[in-house]
Amino acid sequence: MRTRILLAGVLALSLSACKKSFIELVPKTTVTEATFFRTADDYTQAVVGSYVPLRSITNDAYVMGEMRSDNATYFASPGLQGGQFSDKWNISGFLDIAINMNGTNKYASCYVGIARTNAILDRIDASTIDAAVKANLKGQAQFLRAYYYFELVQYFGGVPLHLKEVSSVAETALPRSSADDVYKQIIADATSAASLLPAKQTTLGMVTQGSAKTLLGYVYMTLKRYPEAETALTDVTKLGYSLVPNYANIFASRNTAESIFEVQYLEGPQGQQGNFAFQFAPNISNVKNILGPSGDNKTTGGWNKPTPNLIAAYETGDTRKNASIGFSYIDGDGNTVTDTYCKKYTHGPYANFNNTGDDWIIYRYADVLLLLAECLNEQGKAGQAIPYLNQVRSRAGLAATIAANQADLRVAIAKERRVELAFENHRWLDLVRTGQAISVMTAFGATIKTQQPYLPANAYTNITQNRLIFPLPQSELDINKQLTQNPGY
Amino acid sequence: MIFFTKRTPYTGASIRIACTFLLLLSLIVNSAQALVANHNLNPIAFEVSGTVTSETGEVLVGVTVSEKGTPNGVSTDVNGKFKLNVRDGNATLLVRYIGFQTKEVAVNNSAVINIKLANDERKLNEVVVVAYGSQKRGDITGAVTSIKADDVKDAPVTQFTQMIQGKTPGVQVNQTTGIPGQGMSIRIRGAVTFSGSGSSQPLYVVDGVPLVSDINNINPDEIETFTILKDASSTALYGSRAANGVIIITTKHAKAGQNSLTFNAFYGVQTVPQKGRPDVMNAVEFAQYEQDVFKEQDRINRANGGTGVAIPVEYQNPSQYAGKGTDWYNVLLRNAPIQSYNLALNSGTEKSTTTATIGVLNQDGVLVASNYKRYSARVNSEYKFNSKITVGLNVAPTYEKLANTNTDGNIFGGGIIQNAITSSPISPVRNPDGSLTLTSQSPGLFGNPNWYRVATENKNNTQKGRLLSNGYANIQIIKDLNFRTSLNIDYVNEQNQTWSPSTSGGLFAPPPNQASASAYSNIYYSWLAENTLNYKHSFGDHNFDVLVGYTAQKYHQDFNSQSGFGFPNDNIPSLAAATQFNTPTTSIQEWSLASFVSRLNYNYKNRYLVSASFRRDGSSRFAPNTKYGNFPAVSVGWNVSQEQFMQNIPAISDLKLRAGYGVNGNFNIQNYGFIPNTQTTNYSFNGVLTPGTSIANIGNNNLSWEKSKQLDIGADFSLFKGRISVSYDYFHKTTSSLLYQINVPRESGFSSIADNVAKLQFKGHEFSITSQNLVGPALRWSTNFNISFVRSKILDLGPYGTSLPRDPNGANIEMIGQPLGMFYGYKFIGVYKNQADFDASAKYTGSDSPSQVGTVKYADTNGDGIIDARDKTIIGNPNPDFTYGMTNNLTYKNFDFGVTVSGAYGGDLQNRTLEYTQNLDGVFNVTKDVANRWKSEADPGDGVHPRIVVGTALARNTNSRWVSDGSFLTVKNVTLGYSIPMKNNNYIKSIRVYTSGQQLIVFTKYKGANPEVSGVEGSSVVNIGIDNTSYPVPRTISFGVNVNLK
Repeated sequence: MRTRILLAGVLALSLSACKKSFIELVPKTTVTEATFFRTADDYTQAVVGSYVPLRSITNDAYVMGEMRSDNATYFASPGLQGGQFSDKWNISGFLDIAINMNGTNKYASCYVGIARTNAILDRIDASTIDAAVKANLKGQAQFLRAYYYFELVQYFGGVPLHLKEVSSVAETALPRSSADDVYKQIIADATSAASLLPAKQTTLGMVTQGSAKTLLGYVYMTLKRYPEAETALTDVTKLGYSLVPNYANIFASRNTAESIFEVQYLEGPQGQQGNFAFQFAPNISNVKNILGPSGDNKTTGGWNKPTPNLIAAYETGDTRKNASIGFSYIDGDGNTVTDTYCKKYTHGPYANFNNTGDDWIIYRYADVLLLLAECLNEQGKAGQAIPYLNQVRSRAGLAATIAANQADLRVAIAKERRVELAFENHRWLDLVRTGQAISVMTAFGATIKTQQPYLPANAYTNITQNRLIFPLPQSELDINKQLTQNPGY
Repeated sequence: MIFFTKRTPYTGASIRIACTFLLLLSLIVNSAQALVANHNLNPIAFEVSGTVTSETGEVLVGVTVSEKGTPNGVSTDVNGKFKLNVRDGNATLLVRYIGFQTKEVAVNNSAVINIKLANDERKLNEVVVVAYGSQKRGDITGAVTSIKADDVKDAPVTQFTQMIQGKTPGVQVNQTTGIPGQGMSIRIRGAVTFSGSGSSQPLYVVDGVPLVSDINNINPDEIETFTILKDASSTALYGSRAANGVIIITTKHAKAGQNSLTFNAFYGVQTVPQKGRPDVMNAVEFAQYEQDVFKEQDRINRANGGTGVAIPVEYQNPSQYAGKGTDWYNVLLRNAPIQSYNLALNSGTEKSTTTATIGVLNQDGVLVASNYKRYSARVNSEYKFNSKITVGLNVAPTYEKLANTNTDGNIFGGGIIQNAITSSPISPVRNPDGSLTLTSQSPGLFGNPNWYRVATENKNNTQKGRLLSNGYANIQIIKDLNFRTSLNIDYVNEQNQTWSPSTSGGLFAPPPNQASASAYSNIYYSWLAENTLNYKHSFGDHNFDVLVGYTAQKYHQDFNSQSGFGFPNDNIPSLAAATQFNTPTTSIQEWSLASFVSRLNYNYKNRYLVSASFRRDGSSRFAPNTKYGNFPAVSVGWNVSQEQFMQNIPAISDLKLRAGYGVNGNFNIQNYGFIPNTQTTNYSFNGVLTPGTSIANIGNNNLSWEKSKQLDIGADFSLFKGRISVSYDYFHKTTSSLLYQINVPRESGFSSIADNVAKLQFKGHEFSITSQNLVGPALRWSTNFNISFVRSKILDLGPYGTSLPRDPNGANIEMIGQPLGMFYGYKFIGVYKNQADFDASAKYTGSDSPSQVGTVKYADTNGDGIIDARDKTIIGNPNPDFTYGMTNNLTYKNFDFGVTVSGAYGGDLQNRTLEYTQNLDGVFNVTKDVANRWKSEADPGDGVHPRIVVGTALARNTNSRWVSDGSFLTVKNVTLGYSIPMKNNNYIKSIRVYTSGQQLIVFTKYKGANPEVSGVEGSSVVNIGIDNTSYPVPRTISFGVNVNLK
């Protein structure tokens, strides 16, 4: 009898394990896709997640956006070697090849953002969340997708155009679309975003109608569609933005009245930090007297070093010069060293090495004013352009421009953009947009190598039309056989 | 079983059928109980009694004495006595006992019969533990090797896997690192997966429980036997976990009548042999080398119009360092003790048996500050309610503690050993006042901490408590029909704490640094319920053994980790004193497995053997389209020697031919891997952290286990009454659907997806011979030799191309048509000796660091006149031609002597340590032979070492100069023992003392520290044959004692 009870008990136990659910387990510490995208909060979290790639893109954007130009090079770094250094050196000196982590990071990060916005945009129209919330979230997602594609098309040319969520291996690879098609999609997304987004967000730092219109203005300027650019940029001037009186304060505080689109960072251990202040500091063995914490900056820093050519571009009395460039620093031993570095983003003391919370402004009002001035001047409206230019000059403590005709004004606006927006990752794209890249960089390259003899002898010797865009990452070509490399790489 | 053979997906309906089936079984079982009472009512005619002994007069307990041709039988008691009622005085007794020859004795009307049994040298009746049961060796049809723990007991090691090195053909056991308590890699028949280094390890089954934790912390003294199941027909009952082979471990259980107390202990000293130590420059050589580096930089600077580079004062006069300087490797080493104590109690009566073992092990590592301790206990008890019901309980708690910092691996991973040997030898360990220096800095080198401080002041302590326990009941329902039910648990609580003080640091990060600390807690367990019915019956010459059963297993893991910084000082080396914390990690992981198992063994006259088995596994890890897997197997055997025509060949005492085929799988794929998941992706707005969520991976509804199909053909024979026995196996295995985290284009927004991609083939021959060379009486000598040949070939890599991975600097490559894990890189052919050589040779022209006279010269394998990534080719094969082992045992009177060697022949090793120790940027200490590098056209050096050029990326790429023959022969163990005669002692039955040497000598041409190394390198698929510098495997000399009390 005892046996029977035991047997019955054991069998009952094993039968309980017979249920099919026993072998159907779902993750307990994460939400699966199947149960996500239900509520407004889910969609909000998904949109927040779509901003995240901006942090990594922006943190390294100076390599391709600024060090490629005549604004910046890098410090000498004897003995250091390896991809983390040579990839940046190579981009700076037009020596880059298709295997380059900076190129790969920008490419991959943009697409991470695109995939996240695609997952939202695939579903949000059919969702039953509140209409106003939906419009705002959809507008943000469309803006971000447009921005990521704009980064890609400017730096790499026509790229694969993924507009739907990828849900199987077969869908992961597409051929390249033409640059025209990519621009069409950007314009469609940015236009829709501009109509859906509010002029002001309750949460500062989220993108707005102004962000979308500025993006649209940039896209049209790049395509030389000046009337449409003028409309978009003029609209921005009506949205209540203003210039911050003290130039240095734009970068010392967050989301000012001048800020239109700003990538948000947070200092500390939450994983929201940047480190560009360390990257731009001199590569010395202890940066405590520049940035606060003790730490060897030899492998972190030494980048985005101002060129003599840039320094010379500042007019006498320009308050932006000392706000942007440091002319001496105190090393770890307390000695004052006379050398230049980019200090626009240095707002220490920071608590921890390599961990900063400074935001990075992508679009700001002064930038829009100068772009609008350029847009008007290109259409032969120099008279309308000059007041916008002078607004910016006046804040910098400079007199009104003396340029009067289109040609002089073109030079004046370009120079003004260069110094106003120095180190803000506009210079290289400005040179390309205005057709100046090859001539300016060729002349610059010859001079800089005599000023900075540690630059490689073959740097700046291969500045051609092909080098105005970057190579697609080799790892992508290896996997996606439908891709073709940009000519010259 | 019929319900489960249809090929349609195993739905809920068929589960219900299975459940109903089990319910029906229980009814049958219960009603069968009623029948039992009516059994054994035959009339008594004649009573016979007696004692059974061995030929040497030892009383034998538990011998089966039965009346031939009837089920009537008894077992001998603790005094070897039996009493049996037989039909009449003409009956015949059948006397059977494990390890002895079966004997038939005619009763001839004698009431008292004393029986002597002869030893069975052929071991055919030896019982071998197999999947879900046991079998007589003579009836086994698969490729199965068993090892008695007694045969390997003297090795002064901490893990049983070290003991079976060189013992078994087809089982490659490598000690990849000498970290105490760690580092054993076992590959049965070449088993590999693409999905991580751990998942090609075999399944370990301890007393019927497939373990979910590692095997390292099992005290070898608790083990009775190891059975290694190699082919698919013998492993198939473990279904989706069997593809890498199975090692079944049986722990010690006392036998009825056994009463003993044994004490085993050893104490040993471990040292690192001189051979294999890194051959880096001493202080004088290094200062001269650095002087040359600075001279070269000065020359280049001036050539470019600069003002020159001054030679640092430290390097201006190298001879000042004569007899001084730091040998960093030596600084990290020490001679270290290892000690082990075990006490075992065995007590058995007819009614119950108990074995209790407690053990203490303490091993100091040969690298400073490393240590491993293990405290273990095990109690195995069994209780017989009556002749029908036996219940048992095994409880085995273990506590282990490991202290070891980041010793292994390359400098960028923080590997202390490699970092130390590449740091400056002119930099002292201690200040003149005896205190430790803070940093190891020399001009031109990267910033380094004092690596001795890192090794001794960093803490990485892991404590692991484990409970392995089984409870079971065996119930005889009717004669020959047994029901077994068991509930098993494997529970592990692992706690880790790390600490890095401000005086510690790393490459590029010399102290002072921010102190940091971390802690994690990893608690996991699995429970397993098993119910099996076993029917063993003979109908005349037809012998059947049928098994059906149902098992359910579930695994659960809670992992939490936390790290912090912001310590006010170094006084409290714990997370407790941190003031700032990183985001903690919490994860819960689970998997479950519900299975049906069945097997039929049939033989006719023990001559023709057939075995068929089937398992069906349903697992939470498998995707919706692949939720259930079927794992069938069949094998046949023919005991040829029992045929009439073989009786005329007396030399051949046994001959058996075997063949088997089966399908099994490897379910070591990630939990929830097929489910598209989300991840936390927070962002901050205006300084406020805001929660974000994003899709983390692409789903895959077809994700499944890795499949393996294997054919095995074998033969066992023995000659001259078992003096020589030989075993041979040929296997052919195809492994398909290998899981790989395959790279997808980044344009998808993801970087990889888990998919089943590859198909591999393995073929091999295994051969072992055991010979009783001398059988005494005074001198006995036996030899076992085994050798295996395994060949692998990649047949397919799915839709993703012809090779994996695509990492351009990976150390290994998987290429269709090639063996696994081939080395891939540039073929080194020397240096460009002079301008003429340079002009005539292909060159790297890349803009980053183009070739020049004196730099490395690689082969232009595609003949396009330039050297680039397209010239990479296969530069080595890490797979040995064969592996082998040999054991010799001698006993002479009271002395015993044993030698075990183990080796591999023909496999290449890739010494990636040379990437740093022969780097020519002047930023590391380098090997002595770098002094013979190219210096000028007039002084071109040895033609092997290129000139000093900062930033020569090409020289640092994987190339054939790092590849060399890794053949080795290691004297694994030598033991000499003496049993002290104890004729008239009232307390002590026997005492044996011994001395044992482990890892005594390694014969190899390989220059690195350990030819058994097999490290992990980047994203390579199959990481084999890679030396990234690892903890040295010490030589151990020990003294031990075995005491048996009465």
